[in-house]
Amino acid sequence: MKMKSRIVTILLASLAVVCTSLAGTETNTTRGFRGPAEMEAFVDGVIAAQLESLHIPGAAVAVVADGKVYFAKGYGYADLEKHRKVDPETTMFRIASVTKLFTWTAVMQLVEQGKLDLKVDVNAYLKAFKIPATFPEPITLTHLLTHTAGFEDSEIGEYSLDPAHFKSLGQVLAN
Amino acid sequence: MRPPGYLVVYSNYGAALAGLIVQEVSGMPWEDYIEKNILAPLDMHHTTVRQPVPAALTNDLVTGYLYAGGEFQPQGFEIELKSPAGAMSASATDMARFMIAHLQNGRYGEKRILSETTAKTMHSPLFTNAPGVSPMLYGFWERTPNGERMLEHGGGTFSGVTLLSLWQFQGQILWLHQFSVLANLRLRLWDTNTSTTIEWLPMQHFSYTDQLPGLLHPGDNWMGGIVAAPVTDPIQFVESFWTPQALPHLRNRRPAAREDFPGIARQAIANDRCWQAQAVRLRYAFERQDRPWEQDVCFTLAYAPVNAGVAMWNVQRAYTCFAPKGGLDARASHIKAVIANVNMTPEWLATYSVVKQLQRQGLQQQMADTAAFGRKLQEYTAHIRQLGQQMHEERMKSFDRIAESQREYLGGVETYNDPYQRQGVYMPAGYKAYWVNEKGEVVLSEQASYNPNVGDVNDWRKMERRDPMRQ
Repeated sequence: MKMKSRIVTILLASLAVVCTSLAGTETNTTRGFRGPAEMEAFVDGVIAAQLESLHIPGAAVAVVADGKVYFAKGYGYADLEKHRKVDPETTMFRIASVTKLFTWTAVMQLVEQGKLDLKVDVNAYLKAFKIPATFPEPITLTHLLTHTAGFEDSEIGEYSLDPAHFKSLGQVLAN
Repeated sequence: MRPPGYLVVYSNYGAALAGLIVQEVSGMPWEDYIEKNILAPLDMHHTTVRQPVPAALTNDLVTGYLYAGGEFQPQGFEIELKSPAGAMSASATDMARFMIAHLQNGRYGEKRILSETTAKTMHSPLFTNAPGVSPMLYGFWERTPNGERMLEHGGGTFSGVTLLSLWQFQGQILWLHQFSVLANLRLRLWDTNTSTTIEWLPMQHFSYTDQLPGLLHPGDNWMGGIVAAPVTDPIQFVESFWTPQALPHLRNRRPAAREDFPGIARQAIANDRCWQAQAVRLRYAFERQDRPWEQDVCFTLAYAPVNAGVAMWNVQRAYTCFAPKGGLDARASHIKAVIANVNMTPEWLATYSVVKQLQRQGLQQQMADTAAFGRKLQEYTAHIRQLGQQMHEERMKSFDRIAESQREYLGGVETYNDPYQRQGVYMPAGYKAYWVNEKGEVVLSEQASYNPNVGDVNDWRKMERRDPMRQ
């Protein structure tokens, strides 16, 4: 558990800042900052303090505005032993549950193509196994899209450090 | 582990299932689909959904560390078995590209990952703009870099509530500005073991005058009440207000039984100074996927006297319970205990009163979009906490009185002292031992000598029965 929370913190260090800045840029691109250089000075201070106080080896920040990357910078190390520094362009962080946004985007692409309907029982699309009818309403993609915070599954069987445990998606979900 | 079915909706499993559907429908593995249709058009070259990360990219992957004993200890690559829920590794600027595409409603440079219409739909929290539908699609925004993520906060306010063990809780506020505040509060509880579910139904104030001014039409929101002629038959009320949206599976069904609660009706008349009220429980039966179900719909309809030509009426205490056939009666006292406790949740009442306050301040126009409402609610976070505390204290003071009136119609429920919360909680009657732990989880046993502390890390304390007549 401890290990997990540390890794999550590293990710949040990179992602949380991106998100917060975005919310600001959406309404007013330069509010508070006269340019990327000024933002850099601000972010440098914030990140340096966080890396030190939270014992985070490395983080990356990217801010977008007006359809472009407004500011991006890496901090600290991607690997301490190999002295690999964080590069905002290339260093890859585990983004964990943010992956879901890609899955939802894929779902919406297929909805757009008319291949999926958000209101149809998911069993219509499942071939290998079916979801049993435990409740009166059928489960639809609309339900799946509404994944709600606070109801994460048991972490047992969720993660593994052994690649041999990697199974096909159908196998994982059929259980 | 949770049983499959309803619960998977709110989980990594649900997201992974969506990934599997993408796989089945597109005819290619989920990983291939994401690479071809999202990563490639967005030039996300330092991103992968493969686990472990392909050899060409391993030098770009961060090493996770555990900081312990003053030093960093490298950790292995964690494989997320439900890959569509969390497999990805990505660089910061690659994530920026994905955000740009979403912020520009699907467009990235000359390319598109979504049409503008689809992107806007996806970004709309009130995807189903009909009243009574559960507040869907918020979940997406909780994890999205946008102002609307504030709503996560609104949900989070409730997530700490623990009820009788095994009951799961979901509470949210939905902002349908054209409806009155009561219609915007949502609450759903379910028992993982028995599929028993309790759901609060949209409540609503109504106003009616037979001399409608020219600008008002039936269905308009007039001073917080929807303009509608009073419906005095409860069955007809269910048919006209809930079966179109909140309870679609009961459409065209007649209740198998009806029970009236004159005690609750009298209480409503006394509390709200209305001239007429009826409290009912309607029992419906239906088949779903070869399984018989039963469902109770409970509510109070209250009518105020006509004042200056306007009749006000409303639906109160509206909730529904459903379970596989036989489940509702078998578990009646548990269901009642859960309902009695949840009615009194301080966070719930506090948030409700803030929403009411915002509405009184006439902010409904400014809050017409959900993002703005979420921000507003966040501004009030401290206030909600403070109110929660106040209400908690008031609750403790008035607990006995309320407990008594609740029991009047609930029956089968007893009051116990929770030594952690130092307050009363309602428990189903008839057990020999009632234990609670620091997390608020409760264990009931039919054996007086039962002690959950044996072999458990939680600190369980025994709850004593409280005599409501004596403080």
